[in-house]
Amino acid sequence: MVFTQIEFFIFLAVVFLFVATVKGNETRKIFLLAASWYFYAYWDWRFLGLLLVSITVDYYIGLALERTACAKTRRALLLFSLIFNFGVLGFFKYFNFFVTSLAGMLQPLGLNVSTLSIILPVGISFYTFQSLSYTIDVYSGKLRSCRSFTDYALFVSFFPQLVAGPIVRASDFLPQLETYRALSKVRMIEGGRLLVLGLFKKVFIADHLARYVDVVFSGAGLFDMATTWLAVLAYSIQIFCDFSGYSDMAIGIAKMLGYDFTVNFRMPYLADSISDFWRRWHISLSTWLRDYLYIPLGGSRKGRGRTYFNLMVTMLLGGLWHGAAWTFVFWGGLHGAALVISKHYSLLSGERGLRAERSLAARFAGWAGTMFIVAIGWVFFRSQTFTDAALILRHMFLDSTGIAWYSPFAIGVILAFSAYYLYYVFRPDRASALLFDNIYSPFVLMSMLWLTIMFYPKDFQPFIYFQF
Amino acid sequence: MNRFFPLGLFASILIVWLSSALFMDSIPTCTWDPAIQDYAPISGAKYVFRSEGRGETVFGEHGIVGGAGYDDPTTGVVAIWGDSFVEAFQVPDGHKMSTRFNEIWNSLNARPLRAVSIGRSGFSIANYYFSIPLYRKIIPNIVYNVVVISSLRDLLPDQSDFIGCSFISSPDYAFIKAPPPGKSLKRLFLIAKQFMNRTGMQYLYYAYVDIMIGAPGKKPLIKNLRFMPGVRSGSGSGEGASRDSVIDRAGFKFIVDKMREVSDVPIIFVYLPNVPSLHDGKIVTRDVNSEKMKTFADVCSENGIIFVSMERRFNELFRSARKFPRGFPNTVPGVGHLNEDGHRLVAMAIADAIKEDLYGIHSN
Repeated sequence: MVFTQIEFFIFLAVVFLFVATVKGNETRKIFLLAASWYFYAYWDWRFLGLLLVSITVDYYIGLALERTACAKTRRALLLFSLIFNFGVLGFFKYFNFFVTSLAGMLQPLGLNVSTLSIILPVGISFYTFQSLSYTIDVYSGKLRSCRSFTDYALFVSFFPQLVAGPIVRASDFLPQLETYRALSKVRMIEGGRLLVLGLFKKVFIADHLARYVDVVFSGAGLFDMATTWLAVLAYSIQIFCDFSGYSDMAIGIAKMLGYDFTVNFRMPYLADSISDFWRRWHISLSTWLRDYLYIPLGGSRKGRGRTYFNLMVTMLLGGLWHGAAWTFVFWGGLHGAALVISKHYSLLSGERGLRAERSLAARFAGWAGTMFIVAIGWVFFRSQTFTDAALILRHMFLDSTGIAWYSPFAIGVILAFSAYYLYYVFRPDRASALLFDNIYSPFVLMSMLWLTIMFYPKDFQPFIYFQF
Repeated sequence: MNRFFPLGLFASILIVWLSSALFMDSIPTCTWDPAIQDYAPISGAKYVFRSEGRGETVFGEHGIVGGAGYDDPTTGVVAIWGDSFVEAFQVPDGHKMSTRFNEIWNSLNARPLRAVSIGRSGFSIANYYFSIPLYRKIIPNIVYNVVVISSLRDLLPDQSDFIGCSFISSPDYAFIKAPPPGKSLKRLFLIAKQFMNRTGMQYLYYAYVDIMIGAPGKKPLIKNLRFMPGVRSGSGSGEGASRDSVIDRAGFKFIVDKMREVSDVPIIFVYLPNVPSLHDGKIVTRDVNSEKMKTFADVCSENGIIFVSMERRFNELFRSARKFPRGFPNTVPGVGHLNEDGHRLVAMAIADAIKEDLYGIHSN
């Protein structure tokens, strides 16, 4: 079940009806857990078992970690959690990738390993990382283990964020489950605003842009320069609206139910450096990678060379997390290289991150350079193969011949986005008005809702991050 | 609740109205026409199309487009028959194949001819068989019947999604005309549709169709709802797959004989192959139905019917100008209905065929 299906809204209505009528916290949590498992089973009930096993393993590891003082045992428990979670993720998501990639090397050794017909369980990348953050935090003493199986299971399975994030931290969410949170009109309205905004971004903008982007990218090299650039810019907006739209809906629904998730996107296309971009894009993932990969590797504490190495490893694995393909790894590597260069430059020039000292021209140049790198990165992120990516890049910079196809909708969206972002730069308070009580927001939000309903796509477009 | 909510809600309705006016298609409004024994668009009705291309179509009497002046006895009429490709809501009237033909023909020093379009979405060969004699009474000076075949399916028997008339193969080949649907609520629906068109509320109609009836080839939303946990499966075909159907030389002969039976003027079949097209990221220039259509062309030739295939002209358009004869900026190039270039090429092909027939002038 996805958030843009009619069935989901019927499901949501039933959930709200129950939550509104039930007063006990425990009963409410058990109901939400059952609803979340139904939500997951709707996609494929066979993989509900995998989710339950993952929950059970890490719940008991969490308890054992707190009860055991022996360092060796605690390390072993953590190692078991890591191996189990990464093992499950690795098998379902990366087995065929590694077999295909290594086939050339294995064959001369007489090893013929064939790929398997494996279905990728939806949301596995998200709930695996979420579970790991719990066991690692308990191991490092940052978090007490959860005593309630219901609470822990709900933390992992909570339906608004189960299948495509945001990656919620146990330290943020588990305390919220301890107390009863009555539904409130204010939270319903605030959450409802986010839900409508997210729906508009995903259904009206992202799904309609996808029709254009999919054709141009599948016919890489057939289209002229302007069309290719238009498709790349359109994809930049599509992926933002698709993913941030889903996050908005998840955060909005959780808020309506009484729970708070942290913001996952913060105007990423206003970033004036690549590190700033990663402080604004998929914040729950970037902070997870920072806290559980980059910092344990040493972060920036072990000298310049090691810092650059840590950055590259983090971004390469971050790229691999997005998909089992070398193009995703390359995308991660591109961002890693950009981060390294940016870090090196800032160390050399002694800026120490004090952006306020940079001139307007320098910030504009930083913004333009960052957006250029991000757009090029998206070419690899979206392309199925390096050959396709190379064809797209060739038609962006070198080859102007090809079919001309200038989608009026794509042009309109890009112009509207640009105008909004420009407005935001000069009047951030006004541009953010949509999410607050004022004269504009009901008009804009209701218009968004009508447009979404009126132009609802006839065919199903999955969320991009579902595949991760 | 925000105290500005009622104002915002009212103001947002204006957005809905504006969006309908600019971006939504008109609702088709038809009425029973006893002269043609079928439903036809209301005379004078303007149909706006925005979902594919950007066109405006004004219907004349009996659903004829471009029909002003067709009753001039000194001017022969070229009746262009077809389905949605001739109905051509996607292009403005000034760019439809009948109008383009008139522009081309008027520039020649030739016998005065005027083309009109008689097309309806869902029509097939059986519909033309039953309609030609009826329109002959309305337009006595038809001198050519041009039948546009948008795909091989138009000639195949036993198809389930054509409207009004059927071509069956069992027990023998035959054209069947279905009785008209009940008219009791039609008048009420017609008034409602006209009201929605005038007030920019087409979205209500299309929402009703999507939810309760289903768009062509798709189930209604209400029958697609699923609440039971499922099992992940591979991607389906999405839209309903077309029925497998075959036709042999005898079937083509049947079609040709039947068409000659009802048309006392020369017949021209114009075939629109689906090339060039974009498929899986590649340009396809070879028509998959070329063998079958060659057989049909041979049967036409043997029976004194002119057959024109647009394959060469369409591919030449792409070779020379990197343009497709189908598709629009707001859809996908190479997919869907004919665009203005496609209509222009078909008009040229019809003019060339008539020139050759009348004066023996061959064109490249």
